[in-house]
Amino acid sequence: MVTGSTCIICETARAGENGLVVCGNYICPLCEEKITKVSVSDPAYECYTSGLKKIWRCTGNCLPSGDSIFLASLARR
Amino acid sequence: MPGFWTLAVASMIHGIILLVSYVAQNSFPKPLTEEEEQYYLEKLAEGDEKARDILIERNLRLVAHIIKKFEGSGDDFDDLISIGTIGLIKAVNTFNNNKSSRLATYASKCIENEILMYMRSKKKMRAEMSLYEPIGTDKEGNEIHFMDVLSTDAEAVSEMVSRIMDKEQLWRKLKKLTPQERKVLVLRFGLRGKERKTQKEIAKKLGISRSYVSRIEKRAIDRLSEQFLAEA
Repeated sequence: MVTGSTCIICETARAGENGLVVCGNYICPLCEEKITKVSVSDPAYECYTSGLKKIWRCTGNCLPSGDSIFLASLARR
Repeated sequence: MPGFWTLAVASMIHGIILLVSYVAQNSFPKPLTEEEEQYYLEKLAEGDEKARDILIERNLRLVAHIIKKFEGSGDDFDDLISIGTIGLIKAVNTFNNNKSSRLATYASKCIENEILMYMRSKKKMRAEMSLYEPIGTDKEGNEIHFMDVLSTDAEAVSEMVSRIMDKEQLWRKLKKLTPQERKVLVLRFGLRGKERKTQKEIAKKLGISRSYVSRIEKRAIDRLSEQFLAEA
């Protein structure tokens, strides 16, 4: 289920456009392309990481928080 | 301090509850089997954009698995997980299905590489300091930045400007001398980046006697002095 057509990175509504939908979170084609090319030294890198946190943090159909996933991985050891 | 521990324990319990409910719902995206992976890669090659979503979603567990390696690095798990996700998106978008390796193998390398690059960049950044770094507050409570306590020597700048102005003034006055007088002074005192020469060297260069060079030099200096005195 897509939570909306507002990109989780640039927070711009891009209805009807392609792009990624990861666990109900929409990433617009422009941001997807930038993510594919972004370097860790890019000042905008943090914008992408904080945007992508939404995939892991939201509730409902989304994934549990990063901490929970880490706990899950510890539990599987 | 007890408040901190309460918060820490509450946070951990919250994480465990989320995890348990998640596992119970069995909604954690399961990794793709080799056949499924191949199927979605082929669909993606045919232009099915939904296949890309599935390839990313079903490899998110891989990100969490790789993050385990970096436990104890001191980095925030949420940050690492996001960085790993960037690595995964890069992997899915750049994977070449014609090669024999699996996407999961390639993605693992991309995720790990992204995290390592981030860590290297952060290590490098630690040696640097921003000019806007807050270093404290003044008596009135205003924030002081690193750049506020840095300065160039004000006198050095003013001296430099003054020297440039003096040079320009001297050159304007030199232009009022005869070409021969100007040439002698330029060579004798190494003006305008020229090499300083002795009277004997100048005499040889201009094809005149050393004593004549001496007289030209004296006359030129006198005329320059007159100009400066007249201006003063």
